[in-house]
Amino acid sequence: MEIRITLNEVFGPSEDVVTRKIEGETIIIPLVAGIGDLEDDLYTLNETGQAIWEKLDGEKSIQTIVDELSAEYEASAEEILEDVVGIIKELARRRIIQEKSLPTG
Amino acid sequence: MDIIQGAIGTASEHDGISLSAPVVMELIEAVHEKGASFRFQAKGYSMTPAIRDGDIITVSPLKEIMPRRGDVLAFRHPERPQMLVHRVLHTQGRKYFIMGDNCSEVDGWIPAENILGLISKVERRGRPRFWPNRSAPSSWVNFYLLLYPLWPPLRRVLVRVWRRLRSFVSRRRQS
Repeated sequence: MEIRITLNEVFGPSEDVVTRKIEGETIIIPLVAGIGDLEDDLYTLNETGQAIWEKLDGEKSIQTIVDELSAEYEASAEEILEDVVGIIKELARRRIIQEKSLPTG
Repeated sequence: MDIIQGAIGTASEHDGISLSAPVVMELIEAVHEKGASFRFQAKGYSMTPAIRDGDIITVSPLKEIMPRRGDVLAFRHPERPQMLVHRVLHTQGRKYFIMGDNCSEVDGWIPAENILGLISKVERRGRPRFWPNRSAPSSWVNFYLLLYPLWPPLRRVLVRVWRRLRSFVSRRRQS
């Protein structure tokens, strides 16, 4: 299923995942039916993924994340946007992240 | 773009990534903090035949359950960076005297703070094994835990009786 996202959307970790940064690696375990399963569902992120993951705090919009990463890394905004959208779609498809509504008022 | 490296499987190896015992222990604690259980593959022979090498075990947070004689616990070794899954032989306050079913040496008295959780489920070749459900106490569970040392030899005797009976029936049919 294709997930469509827009630049002003905000994503953050789902409540049903456990993440730990251990020995330099971000490890993500989704909790399915109250079980964290090392046998079936365990994910790790590469360096690019980790940089994006750390910005997915449930407060920053995708546009803000792209702007911040553009300032931090020597890559074009188009390339960064492509990576950010790619990982967000993948993480959302696996229900590791979810859309967060922005505070109003 | 290879950002998500995919399921990396067991604590030992998968796709070239290995998780050490301290990492697995940290993950168990992190999952338990959310009140969830942790499922992974057991390695070793210290609990054979109750838990065999390669069985999939589920470690649940203790919550209100007080470990008792016969329970199988996952715990941090007090002196080594190692996680063990062994059985409680005695309890004394918040200390547990623990030993593997297939071990010749005891682990000794393990303090409550070293306990990671209770083994709540064991699966072998994709099928759950009979295992006491401690979250729903019953007289049957109490009976099982009281007599747990008898089950392995009793099972061996029952298997032997069953095989003899089967061969007797088969001979009777042929004659």
